[in-house]
Amino acid sequence: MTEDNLYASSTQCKTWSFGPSTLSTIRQNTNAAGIRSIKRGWKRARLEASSSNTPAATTPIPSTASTPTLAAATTPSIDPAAIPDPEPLTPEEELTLVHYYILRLVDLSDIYNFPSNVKSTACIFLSRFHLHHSVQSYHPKHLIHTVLFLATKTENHYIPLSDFCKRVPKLTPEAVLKHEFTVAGGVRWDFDIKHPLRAADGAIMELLTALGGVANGNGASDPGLQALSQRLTPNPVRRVQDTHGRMKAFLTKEALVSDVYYHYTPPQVFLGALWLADKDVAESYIEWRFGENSTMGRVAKKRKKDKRGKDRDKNGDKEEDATPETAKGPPLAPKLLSVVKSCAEMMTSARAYAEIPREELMRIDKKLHRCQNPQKFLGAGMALGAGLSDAMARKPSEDGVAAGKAEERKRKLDDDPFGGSLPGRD
Amino acid sequence: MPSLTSSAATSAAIARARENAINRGSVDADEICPVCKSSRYLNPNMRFLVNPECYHKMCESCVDRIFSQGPSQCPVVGCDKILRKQKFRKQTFEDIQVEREVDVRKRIAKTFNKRQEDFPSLKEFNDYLEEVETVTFNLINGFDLAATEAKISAFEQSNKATILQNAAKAAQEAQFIQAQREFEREQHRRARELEQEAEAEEKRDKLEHRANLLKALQADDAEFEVAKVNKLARKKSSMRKENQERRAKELEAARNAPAFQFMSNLNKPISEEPPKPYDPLDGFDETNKYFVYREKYENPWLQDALNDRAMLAGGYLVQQYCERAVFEAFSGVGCFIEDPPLSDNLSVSFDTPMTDAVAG
Repeated sequence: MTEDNLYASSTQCKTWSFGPSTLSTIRQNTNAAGIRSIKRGWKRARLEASSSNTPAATTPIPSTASTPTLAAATTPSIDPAAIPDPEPLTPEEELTLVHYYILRLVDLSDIYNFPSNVKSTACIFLSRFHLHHSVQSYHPKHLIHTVLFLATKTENHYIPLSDFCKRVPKLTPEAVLKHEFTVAGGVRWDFDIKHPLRAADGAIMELLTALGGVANGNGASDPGLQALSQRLTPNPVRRVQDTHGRMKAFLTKEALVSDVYYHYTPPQVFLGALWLADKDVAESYIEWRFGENSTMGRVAKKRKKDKRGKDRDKNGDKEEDATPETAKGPPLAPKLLSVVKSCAEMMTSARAYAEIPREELMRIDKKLHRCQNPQKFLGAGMALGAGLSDAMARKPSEDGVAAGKAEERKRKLDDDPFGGSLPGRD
Repeated sequence: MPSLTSSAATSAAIARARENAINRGSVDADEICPVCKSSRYLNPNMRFLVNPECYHKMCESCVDRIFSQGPSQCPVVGCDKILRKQKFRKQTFEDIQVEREVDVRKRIAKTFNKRQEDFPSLKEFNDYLEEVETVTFNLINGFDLAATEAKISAFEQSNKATILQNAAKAAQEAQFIQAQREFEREQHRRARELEQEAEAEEKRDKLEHRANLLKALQADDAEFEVAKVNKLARKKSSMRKENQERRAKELEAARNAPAFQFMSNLNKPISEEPPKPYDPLDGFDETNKYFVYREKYENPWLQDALNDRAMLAGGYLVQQYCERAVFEAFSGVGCFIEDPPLSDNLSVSFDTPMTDAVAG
C-alpha cells in the first residue's frame, strides 16, 4: 500500500474532505436546518405563551408570589403573535462565529499548556461539529470546553476532569460532560485526525538529514539536493530550522481557523505553511522531492545498503527493479506547487478572522441570543418572568400537558437524533 | 336335504376345478397354491411368495401359517431347507431360474464392487471381471460350491474397507443420478407449461382481435379502424413470438447449464500449474512510493528523548517515531481533493443524517 492509498482509506479523506462548492453547500444546508429549528422553537414558544396567557391570570398564588415585582413591572397585554420571528443567521455569520470560537479554543488550550496536537484536534472537532450542526442549534460557547476535554482524551493526553475544571473559573464538570456525547456523535466518532504537525516534523527531519549529508560531501549524486542547498546558502541548516519554527506557528493557528483541513491533505497543508514561512525553502523542497529528476531518496538508500549485509542488498536490488525510473509517471511538482500556493493563500486569508471587530461579533451574538431564547422575547416571559418561563419550558402548565408532551415526543422522534435546539439552555 | 347335497356338490366341483387347474400347466399354476391347494378363484387377493433359499412358491397365507412361529422346514416334499418368514418376497421373474441367478449376481456384485479405476489398466480389470464371472457361474450352477463360498468369504474378509468405500461411492452416484433425473423432469414440465401458456395466449389474442374487428366494423370510418386493429394484432403477434423465442432460449440455456455447481468440476482434470507459495501479507507491499527510510534522522528536538530513561523504558523508540513522521510527510501528498471524481464520490457518499434536519 502506498502512502496515498493509506491516506485515501482514512475517514479524514473519505468523509471529511470536500471540494469548495461541496463544503459551501453543506454549510448552507446546515444553516437552513438551523433556521428551521429556530422557527420551530419560536412556534412552540408562541403556542405556550398564548396558552399560558389566560391561565396566567388565575395562576395559583405561590408562583406569582415568587416574582411579584417582575409581574407587576411588565405589561401583560402584549400579544405573542404580534412579535415577529427573529432574523436568522447567515452561513457566513455562522462561520465567523465558529472561527472566533476556534481562536478562543486556541487561547483556552494555551491556558492549560496542552501540546499542539491536542489543540489542533480540539479545533478541528469544533469545526467539524459545526459543519453539520448549526450554530443556531448549538452555541459554540457551550462546546469549547467539552471539545477540548474530548481532545485530551482522544490525543492520549488525559487529565482528570476535576483538574480540568479548576483552571477555568465557574466551569463545572457537568457543563463539560453535558454535550460530550453530542459532540462525539457530531464528529461521527472519527476521533483520529491526521494533522500536518507530525508530517511537518518528518519532512524537516528528512531535509535536515539530507543537508547534513551534503555538508559531509555525500549528496553529490542528487542534483535536486545540490540545487536546494545552493539556493539556501549561506547556512541552509540554520535556515531550515528557523523555518520549522515559523511553520509550526502557522500550523497551530491559521491552519486551524481556515478550511484547509477540508480541502487539502496533511502534507499539502504543511507545505502551504512552509510556503508562508519561507517561500524558497518550500519551492526548493518540492522541486527536490517531487521534481523532474527527483530520486525519491532511492540513491541515498542504495549507497547505504552497500554498507549493510548481503541479503539486504538483494532485497534492495529487487526493489530497484520493481520501480524503474521510467515507470514513475509525470513529476508531481507543478501540480503540487499550485495546490500548495492556493492552500497558503487560504491560510493567509484566515488571518482576517483574528481581526474581526468586536462590535460585529456582538451583533451576531445578539442576533443568536434572540433566536435561541424565544421565551424572553414573547409574552410568556414578559408576563411571568424569566424564571417561570424556564420552568414552563421544561414542565408545561396543567392544561397544556398533553399537547406539550406529544409535541415534545414528536420532535424527539422526527427531527434529529440529538434533539434540535435546546430551549432554556443558558 | 337339499342344502347338504348342494354343498357336497359344490365341494366336489371345487376339487375338480383344482385338479384341472393343476394339470393344466404353468398358466394355471399361478392360480393355485402348491402347498394348500387354495385357488385364486376363491381368494382373489392371493399373492405368491418365494424364499431365496429354495425358491419354492407358496401363497401368503401358507407363509403366515407355517412360518409365523419361527423358522421351519419348507413344506414342499423332498425339500429340507429351513426357511424364515422374513426372507420371503414376491417373485419378480416368471422363470424361477432367472430369479435365482439375479439374486446370486446381486450378492456377488455387493462383494465384488471393484471399479476400473482401482486397476492399473483395462486388462487387469477384465481379468478381474472374468474371475468374478467364474465365481458367479459356479454359484448359479452349483459347481464347487464349498470351495467357491470359501473363496468369496476370504475375499470379503480381506477387502472389507475397500468394499465399504466403493459401496458408499456407488450410493453417492446413484443419488446424483436421481437428482439429475429430477432436474430434467422439472425442465420438461416447465417447457410444457410454457407451450400451453403460449397457446392459451394466442387463442385469447385471436378472440380479442375478432371482437375488436367487429367493433371496428361498427365504427364510422370502418376501413381505417379495421386497418388499425389489424396492425395492432400484427404487432401483438410479433411481440408474442419474440417473447416466446426469448423464453424458449432461456429454458434451453437453463437445460444446458449444469443442474449443480459441482457437475462442472466433477471430472475436471487437475490443473498442472503448481500452487503459488503462500503469501501471508496477501500482496501487501512495504515499499514506499515517495521516499526510502533512512537509518538515522537529524532531529535536534528529539535529542532529549533519545536519552530519557523514562521514555525508553516505556518502549518508545525514536526510530519508530521518525519513520511514522516521514511516512506522514508523504501520506496523501498525491491526493488532490478537488479532483472531480474524488469530490463527486465524497458528495455522493456523504449523507447528512447528523444535521439536525435533512435538507428539504
